[in-house]
Amino acid sequence: MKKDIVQLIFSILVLVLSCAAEELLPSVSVVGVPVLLSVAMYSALNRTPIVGLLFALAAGAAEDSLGSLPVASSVSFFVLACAILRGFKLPLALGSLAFPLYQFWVWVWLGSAMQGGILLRMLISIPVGVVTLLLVWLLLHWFDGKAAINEK
Amino acid sequence: MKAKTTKTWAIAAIAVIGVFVFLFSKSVAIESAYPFQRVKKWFSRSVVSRMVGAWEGASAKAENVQLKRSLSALAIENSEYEKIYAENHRLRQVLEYSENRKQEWIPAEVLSYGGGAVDAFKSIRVSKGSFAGVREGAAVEVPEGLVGRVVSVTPHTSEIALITDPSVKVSCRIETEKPITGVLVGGSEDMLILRFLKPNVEILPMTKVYTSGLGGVFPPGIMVGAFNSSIEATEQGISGLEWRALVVPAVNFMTLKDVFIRK
Repeated sequence: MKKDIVQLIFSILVLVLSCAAEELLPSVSVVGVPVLLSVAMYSALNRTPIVGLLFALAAGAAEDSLGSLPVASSVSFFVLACAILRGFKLPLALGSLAFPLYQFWVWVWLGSAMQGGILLRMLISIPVGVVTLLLVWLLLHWFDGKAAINEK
Repeated sequence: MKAKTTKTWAIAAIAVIGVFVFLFSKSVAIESAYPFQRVKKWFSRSVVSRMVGAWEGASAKAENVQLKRSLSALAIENSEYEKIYAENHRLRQVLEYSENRKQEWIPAEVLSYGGGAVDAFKSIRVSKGSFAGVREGAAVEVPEGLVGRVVSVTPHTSEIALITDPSVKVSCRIETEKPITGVLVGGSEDMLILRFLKPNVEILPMTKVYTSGLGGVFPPGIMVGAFNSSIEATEQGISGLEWRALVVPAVNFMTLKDVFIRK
């Protein structure tokens, strides 16, 4: 119970900081830095299912707002990606596949309105996503250890 | 046991409400990032620029930034007065019609380029929103020319779609003896595409391109760029040939620091 509350408060704080980080970090070529998706996937694997799900919903909604994307385009992907990671108990490293897939997902929603070629976007998003995921994992894992709020 | 269940439900309810706020209030995520963007801007303006100033021996660096901003505002105001004067003069002669209009701008600082992890659109976010009187659809300029239009507004920020984005269509007029009109449909930071032009018309390179005012989104007479190439025909679906040309933008979109939003 206490862990739920601590996780929830911590998640809100992380969500706000992730929004700020995504806004402040410069784009790499034609793609932005996927901080929110990385944090959502980390939360899916390291928080209670309800907190993980809520975080995926909120992070997806925030991503839609920050990127001026159609409502629910990111929400649906974030929830799906996090559910697959959690449901099949996949290692977080496999989550790096989610970044090019996310670019493709948004491209399906937006079509030609999206700037830059989709193949180039998917290619660039792989290294950008891997580095972001690694940094997010290191940072949150360290903080979880300090605050002792990890689910495991 | 019962108390524990009640608490769990209370937490779940609060969390669900929180998520719904995020889902239905578009501005929450943007506004939550706003204080951090302001801190970053403050830091780069107050601390970094002063350190650079001290390093370069120029103690008035920060003041200089303010003065440059004021100068830009005055330059754009002055060019507007010149345009109004010329327009007024012409209208008085031809139609005996005169109407003075005072244009006001809201100066705003560029906070970030693009948005989100996808960075799907060519846009910038600036530091003024609905609290400062910014409204959706307003034209955004710098002294050099047209930047874009406001597409979304939160209390403290606005998102501006650049004219390089294909979703922003600008009706334009090329300054030739017989004015030619076309529609600007995006492009890159280096080159914009002007479509729906008249065929077989000779236009000299570097001829100025202005907004025409048709469509009512952008006011007339704002500099867009300079004509770059000859008009070329391209195949365009069942409608047959379409005539288009390239335009060099008047604004350097990658170095924007401050913009002016029309009230």
